[in-house]
Order: sequence, then C-alpha cells, then structure tokens
Amino acid sequence: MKLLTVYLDAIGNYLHVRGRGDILRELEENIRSRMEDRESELGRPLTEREQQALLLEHGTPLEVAARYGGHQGTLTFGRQLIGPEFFPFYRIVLFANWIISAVIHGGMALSRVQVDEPKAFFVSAAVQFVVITSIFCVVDFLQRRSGGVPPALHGHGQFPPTYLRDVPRWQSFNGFLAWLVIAAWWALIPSYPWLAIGSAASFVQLGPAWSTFYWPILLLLGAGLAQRAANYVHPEWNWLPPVTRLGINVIGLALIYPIHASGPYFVATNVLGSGPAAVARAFDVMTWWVAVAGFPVFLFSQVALNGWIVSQHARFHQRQRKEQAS
Amino acid sequence: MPDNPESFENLRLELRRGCLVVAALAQLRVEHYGYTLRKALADLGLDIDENTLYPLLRRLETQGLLVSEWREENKRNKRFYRLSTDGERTLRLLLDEWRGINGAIDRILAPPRTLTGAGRK
Repeated sequence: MKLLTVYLDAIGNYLHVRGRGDILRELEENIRSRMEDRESELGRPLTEREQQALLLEHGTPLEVAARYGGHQGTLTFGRQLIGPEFFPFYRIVLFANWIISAVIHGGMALSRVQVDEPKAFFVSAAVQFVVITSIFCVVDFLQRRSGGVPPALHGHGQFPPTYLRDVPRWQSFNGFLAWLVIAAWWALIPSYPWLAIGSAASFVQLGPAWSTFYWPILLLLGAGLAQRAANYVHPEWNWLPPVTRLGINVIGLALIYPIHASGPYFVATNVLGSGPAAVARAFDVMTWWVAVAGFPVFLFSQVALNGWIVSQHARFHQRQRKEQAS
Repeated sequence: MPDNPESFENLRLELRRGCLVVAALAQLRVEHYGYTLRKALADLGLDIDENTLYPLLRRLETQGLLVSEWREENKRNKRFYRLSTDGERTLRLLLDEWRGINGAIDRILAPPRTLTGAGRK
C-alpha cells in the first residue's frame, strides 16, 4: 500500500491544514475498500501497476483536492499568472528566500556591518519577489503553452514520484566523477593557483582570506562525494541526496558572511607598478560577485527545493510508521 | 448525438446534480460509509463519481442533513453516515418537490388532447 500513502500525501499537499487529516483518513478507507473489492474479484492481491491504474482512475491529487475545496492557490492579476500546479512551490521558494534574507540581514544589523539594514532588507525582499515571481510566471506560461504542467510536478502521472524512487546507479556514478573533478580542482588551488587565475598566477597570489573558506568548502565537496558513493552502493537510500544537499547548501549559505568579511581574496605579489594590483583587484571583485552576490541565489533555491523534498520524505515516513503501528 | 455535445454535457450534469443529493439522502436512511454508499447507489442504477460523492457527503453533514461517526468495522475505522432528523424532514420536502416536478414534466410531455365539442364555441 506504499502507492496509496504516496497518493494521499500528494493530495494532502493541496488541502487546507484544517480538516486535512480527517479527509485523508476517510479517503484512505474508501480507496482501500475499493482495492479490496477488486482483489476479491480477482482472487489475488493487486499488482503495483493495477494499484497505480486504480489510483489514477480515482483522479489526480490536484483534482481530488479541488473537490474538497483544497487551497491550491493561484497568482492572478487580471488573468492567472501562476497556476495551482506551480503555486505551492512558488510560495515555498519565495518565503524561504525571505526568511533566509531576513536572517542574514538581521545578523548584519546585529553585527553593525550595515547601519541601514531594514531598508536593505526590504529592497532585497522586493527584488526577490519580482525576480522569483517573474521566473515562475514565465515557467507557468511556457508549460501551459506546451500543453500542460509536467506530471511529476503534481505527482499524478508517476507513482511513486521521482524523489521516492531508487537513485539510479549511473546518476551516482556520474555525479561522483563530476564532484571528484571539482574537489580535486579545489584541493589543488593553493599549490597551483594558476588552476584558478591562469597565467596571472605569476604576479597574483591567493589572499589570506582563503584560509577562512578553503577547508570548509573542501569538506562540503567531500560530503557530496561521500553521498554519491553511498548511493551507488545503496540506491534505495533515496532520502540521502536531499538530506545531504540541504545540509551542504545551508552550510554554504552560512559561509557567505565569513567569505564577504574576509577579503581580499587575491593580492599582487609584485608590489612594483599598479598593473598586478589592478589585476588582483579585478579578481577580487569578480570573486565577490560570484561567491557573495550570485551564488547565494542558487543556494537559496536549492535550500527551498531540498527542504521541500526532505519534508515530503518526513511526512511519507511518518505516515508509513503510523500505518505499520495500526 | 446533439450538435453541441459540450452544452448537452453541461445540462446533463446540472440535471444530475440535484438528483444526486436526493438519492444520497434517500439511501442514507440506512447507515453507510462512503464506499458502500457508492456501491449501493451504483447497484440501483445511479453511478456517482467518488470525487463527487465523498465531498458531497461532507457538505451535507456540514449543512446538518447528515450525521457521521467513526466506528470500527472489520478491524478498520470507517466513517459511517446517516440521515439526521433535519435531513429526514428535508428529504420529505425534496421528494414532494421531486414528485411535483416529475408529474408536471409527465403532463407536459403527454400527447395533446384533441378539443372536444364542449370546448368549441
């Protein structure tokens, strides 16, 4: 009955918290009765494929929830901009961004790095709203134009959904190789700075700031490698990738402030002449924009995405435990 | 097949909507849980989609026409519904209305009677 649990979980995503448990309990009982009837007709237990067909026949999670007045939510401004299939995910990403942003700005305000923090927070919150909303509007529009949202998004086309399936070995293997190359590159930078800055390494060297984040980042890369190796051996540990990624991304976000505060990242070795200093400064600015201004956007979205997947796992396992107990 | 099947489908659904409420209330003079109610109605010739029936039961309960309780049957907890006192009164009134409409439709559809001599001037 694993599929039924997944199906009910997917419906639960679209229902109001109030009354959700009661509706799901009742639905579960009715669907179970129907499955049992079918099994007694056939004189054998239903196969996974038959269970899947029966659930799909019952209706997509979104349709079922809609009949119960589920709060799918949409963003509508004259016309619908973000549909119910994307809206829950949009809301999670937006709120996660705001919360993380509030924490960072709050930390900066307390450490008195910036005096005008409240204003900076509201500006960045507004920018995040505009950027995230625009991205979701475009994605929603393109999906609708191409004939509908992907089934995996509202979880009705495939059971179990991707995140509850075994992690394919090829995926773990390829991921391991990719991370190995990146980790090796990162590990060798202090010995061979040209790996990061090319021929400029003859007159620019790594600044003292590197000691702040070199080892933590190497450890995070090691954690990514270990996860892929573990999933290669145990593909059934489907909870491991989102849990590891969530941890890595949260620690990555926590490193942003020390990275921001620890510059310069590159210094000129040849103090004579302004050329090397200007090149070191250019690398510095570039690093700041990539690591402090740009990368956090990616990390925020990853935290939101993996946080959501981890919460789905937690709910799924909680329901399974309850089921086993009863 | 009508020229506009979509419009026919909408009219058919509209016609069925009210009838389903009457049918569900009438069938719940005897206690049922969702699945057995659906089966009982289907056996009597009225097939109702699960996603219509189960939310309908909850709505009728909210309106006070049904009462429900969770009870164990075959070692599993099920939610049993039955008609409330208010539901019984409402059902009687709805059935009167139903018979009235039915009679009127029958009279409307009956072949027109030819006028007798008494009716002629």
